[in-house]
Amino acid sequence: MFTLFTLRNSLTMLYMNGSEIVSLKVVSLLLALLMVAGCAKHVETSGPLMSSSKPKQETATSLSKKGDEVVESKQSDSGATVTTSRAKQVSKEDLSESQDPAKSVIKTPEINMDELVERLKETEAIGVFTKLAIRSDVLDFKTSIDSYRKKGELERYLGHLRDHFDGLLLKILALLERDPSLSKDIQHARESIWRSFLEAKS
Amino acid sequence: MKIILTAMALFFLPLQAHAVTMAEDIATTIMLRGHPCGGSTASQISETRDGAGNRTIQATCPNGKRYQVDVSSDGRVTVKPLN
Repeated sequence: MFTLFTLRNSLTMLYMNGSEIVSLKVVSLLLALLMVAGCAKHVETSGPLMSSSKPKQETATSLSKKGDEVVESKQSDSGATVTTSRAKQVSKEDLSESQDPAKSVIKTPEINMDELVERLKETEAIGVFTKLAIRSDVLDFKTSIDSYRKKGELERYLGHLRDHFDGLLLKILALLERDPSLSKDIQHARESIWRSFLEAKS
Repeated sequence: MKIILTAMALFFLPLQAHAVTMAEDIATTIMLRGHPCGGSTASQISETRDGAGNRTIQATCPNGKRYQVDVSSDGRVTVKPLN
């Protein structure tokens, strides 16, 4: 800051000797801008934002649990480690939540295949003949899976069968345009349906 | 006043999805079997049944093509063009 003021004064003295008043004004303006920029930088480094650099002082904080005690370790810039321990009442609920894996897993809605088939039979979005045509397609698909399985080539043609399955499902979903709820549920159950096809044995 | 009320009632009536008609159903079945139909509604539909429970439906598509839809007693559906 002081350097900028000195520079400005010395430049002013230099130009006062000449007749370039306009140039002097321009240079003064530039210097004023520099000063403003310098002040802004100063405020940034020494102002309230300095609190954001606090984590530098405490570089690492670790918590460890020893029985009912919680041991808090803090490592400062100087490398000294400050360890404080405080007793903490760990509730049984906390422990049960952390140890029970069933609670931590996000529950997925169960898919009832029989219910889906029943809804497909009952829906008014598809006509009787169309339903019968879909049924024929599904039975043909099932037959082809069984024949591959009997030949022992199921693994080999799994990709081909999956493509066929996707096409079949796409047809059904397109037909269920007037029953978006059922369409959505079938879409969600896609993998379950595929697995049930592979598991089914005639 | 009556007209306004009727118009309002019609406007606020929920649009219910109508059940599929037989003409639409036949046209969809024909298309599902990979045959061109040219529209979603078939016409000139005639149906016959035999003693074994097999059904034969003949229908004309909007593109002018006539098809025969055979439904066997066990529910298998086949479609064949007539012209």
